[in-house]
Amino acid sequence: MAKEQPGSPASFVDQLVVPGDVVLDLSNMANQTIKLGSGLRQESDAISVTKAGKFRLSKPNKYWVESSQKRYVPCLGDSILGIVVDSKADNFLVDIKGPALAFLPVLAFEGGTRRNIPKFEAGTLLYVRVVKANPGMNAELSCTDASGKAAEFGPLKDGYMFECSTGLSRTLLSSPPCPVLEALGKKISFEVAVGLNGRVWVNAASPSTVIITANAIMKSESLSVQSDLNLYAWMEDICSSCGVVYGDTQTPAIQPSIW
Amino acid sequence: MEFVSPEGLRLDGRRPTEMRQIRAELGAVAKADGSAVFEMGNTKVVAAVYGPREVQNRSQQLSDQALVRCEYSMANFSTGDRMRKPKGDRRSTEISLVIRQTMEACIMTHLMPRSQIDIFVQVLQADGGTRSACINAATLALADAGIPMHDLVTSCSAGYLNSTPLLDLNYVEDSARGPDVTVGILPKLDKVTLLQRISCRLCMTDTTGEYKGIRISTRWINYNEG
Amino acid sequence: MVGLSLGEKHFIQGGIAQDLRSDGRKRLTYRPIYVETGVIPQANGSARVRMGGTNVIATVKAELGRPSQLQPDKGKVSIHIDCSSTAEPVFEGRGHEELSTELSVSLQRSLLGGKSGSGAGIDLSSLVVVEGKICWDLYIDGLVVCSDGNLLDALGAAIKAALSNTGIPRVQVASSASGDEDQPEVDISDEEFLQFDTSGVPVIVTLTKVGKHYIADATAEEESQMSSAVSISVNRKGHICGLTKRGGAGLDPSIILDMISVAKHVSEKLMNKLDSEIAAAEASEDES
Repeated sequence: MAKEQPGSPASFVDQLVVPGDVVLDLSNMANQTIKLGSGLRQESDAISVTKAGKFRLSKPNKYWVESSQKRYVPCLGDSILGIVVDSKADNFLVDIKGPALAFLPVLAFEGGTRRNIPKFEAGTLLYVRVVKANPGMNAELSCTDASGKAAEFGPLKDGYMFECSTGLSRTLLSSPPCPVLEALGKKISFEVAVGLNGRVWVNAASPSTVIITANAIMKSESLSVQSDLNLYAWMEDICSSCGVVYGDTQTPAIQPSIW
Repeated sequence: MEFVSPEGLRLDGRRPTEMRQIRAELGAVAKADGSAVFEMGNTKVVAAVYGPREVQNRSQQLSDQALVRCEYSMANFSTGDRMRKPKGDRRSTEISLVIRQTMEACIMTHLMPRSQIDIFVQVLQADGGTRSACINAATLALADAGIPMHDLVTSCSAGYLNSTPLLDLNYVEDSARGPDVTVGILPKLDKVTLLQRISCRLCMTDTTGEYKGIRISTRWINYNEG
Repeated sequence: MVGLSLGEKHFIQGGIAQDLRSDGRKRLTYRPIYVETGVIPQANGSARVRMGGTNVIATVKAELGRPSQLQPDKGKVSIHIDCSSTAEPVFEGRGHEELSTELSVSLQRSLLGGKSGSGAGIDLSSLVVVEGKICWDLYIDGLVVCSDGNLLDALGAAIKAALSNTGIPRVQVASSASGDEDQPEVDISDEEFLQFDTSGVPVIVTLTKVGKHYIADATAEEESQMSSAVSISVNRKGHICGLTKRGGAGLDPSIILDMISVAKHVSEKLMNKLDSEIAAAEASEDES
């Protein structure tokens, strides 16, 4: 472990940390306001880590631990992909890969009233937003944006959904756009919906395109150096492993629509 | 039988306060939410964590904290003589309980009320110290699953043979039936969470040696995380 | 766990119909196979096989025992499979027993030949030390560590690899002059080991029928959509050693014949791939 004096934030920033590590000592940091994100905990004067991951600092004072998991912890405002498990009188029960099922009120749709309740069978894939995430309660979802419009939320038809780690889905949504999606979008046209809960849905004109895109995204997690040159070579590799020549699709290349 | 040679070396060539080689690998079970393989010398265990997820048996649901469950099992081929051990004999039930209690102490269960965390530990090879190896593997698997924890628990055993305190007993030393103790500590918080003494005689174990070993193991685990 | 959504089911079925599966494979292509040998040093032979998310370990332990009275000139081999709860939470407690038994029985049928021991992949008479008195009992134990479909093929491959990794100590019979009643004394060498001839051990090819087509090496998602599956074990000569059908739906006999000829073709490739993987694994083990 690094033997630096705890309390100098720079000593841990961008380093790997594990549960129990004390990353900040507040007694040396009087008169400063700091904001703590996920994976950190305050115990009197010490800020310690509760999750393994990379310790991040967003200047001037936001600290959090960036980690990548297979499970999702609901967080207010996240856009996620859920699967309807059951429907009750007031709520749909939706699986979001979280610790408990989430509720989607039947009226949480654009212009939703008692009369036009949508019918979702168990197994329907939905693109939704988390509107309530209180500890000790099931999360609550909504199919509208903050202003009550449907925006892009709602059921996703056709296409293919696959699961990845939460870290990968965050990378896919990062700005500037993720290089893998950009490179794919230059040659292939497809639709993609990325849920922060580690679910990705892909749709395109032909199944083979869907499969290429899905495999490229899934395999991009282990990529570290993303210089353009080796990215294209790598992409060709993936495509040939799926039996398709990269760049052979006739459809006009458009930017991927990242929701 | 002589367990420590006059030169101060043990049967496998270690010094009394020397640990066996430790190796760990994360993410070995692709389907689990978190998993780890942990080796201490010839002892090798796999741990897989599923959860936090919906409680499967509603009557067990806890409204203020997560339900932690653990199952320990030994593979048929894990011991020197092949043995048919049905799952759920007394010894494995007891070890399951020990692992569960130790893990519960370090998981921040209050953050995930009404959910369930399953820890499955499978022994592939048993050469003494399975209890400690299982706890170390379970900790790593929990960290891999991203479950919030106070600290990483590390565990190691020690015994007392030929008037010498020995760290990290292997199978031969373990079966000598001397007094031994298994300790689990939270190294960053400096707290002991597990202390099991299986001894027939009163003994004084050299805890300093033991702590040293556990420190080494902590460092190893940190290294492997990175 | 949540099952597949409706869209996914259609996608998997549609992809198989178009000969392009969701991981980019063709219908009869296997996932890459990785073999490691000698993973359990305490056993006489062991191997770990990984195919995608499927991860299995097989070990061979040899013990001296008495041959059965009906077959005094043959050793005994038994196969036992365990599904670890690490692979699937439902395997906890006794939840794994049904699947474990099903796998054990299918493997015994595929690899060990008939009741008389004839047609077994291993030459059982090579296990005899003194006819009618002492023989080697081979205990083959399999453990499923992680399951992502096609367990039977993976276990079959792991057992083949473990057998070729197995060394049986050479046994010297000390005194042949002793009385007929008592067991002759033996001296087990700890230096000289005998290797098996594993070229006769078959490989298992499972063809899973999804919709109108059948596929090799199905993943767990694809298996959830299957109507029936046929496991065919084929040896190096191209002979069929065993046949097991799972799943409820009936199959037209002509399809079964078709499957057998396809399996024979696929098994050739699988056998060659597996042999080269085993050789590579043995070589890397020797190095370290």
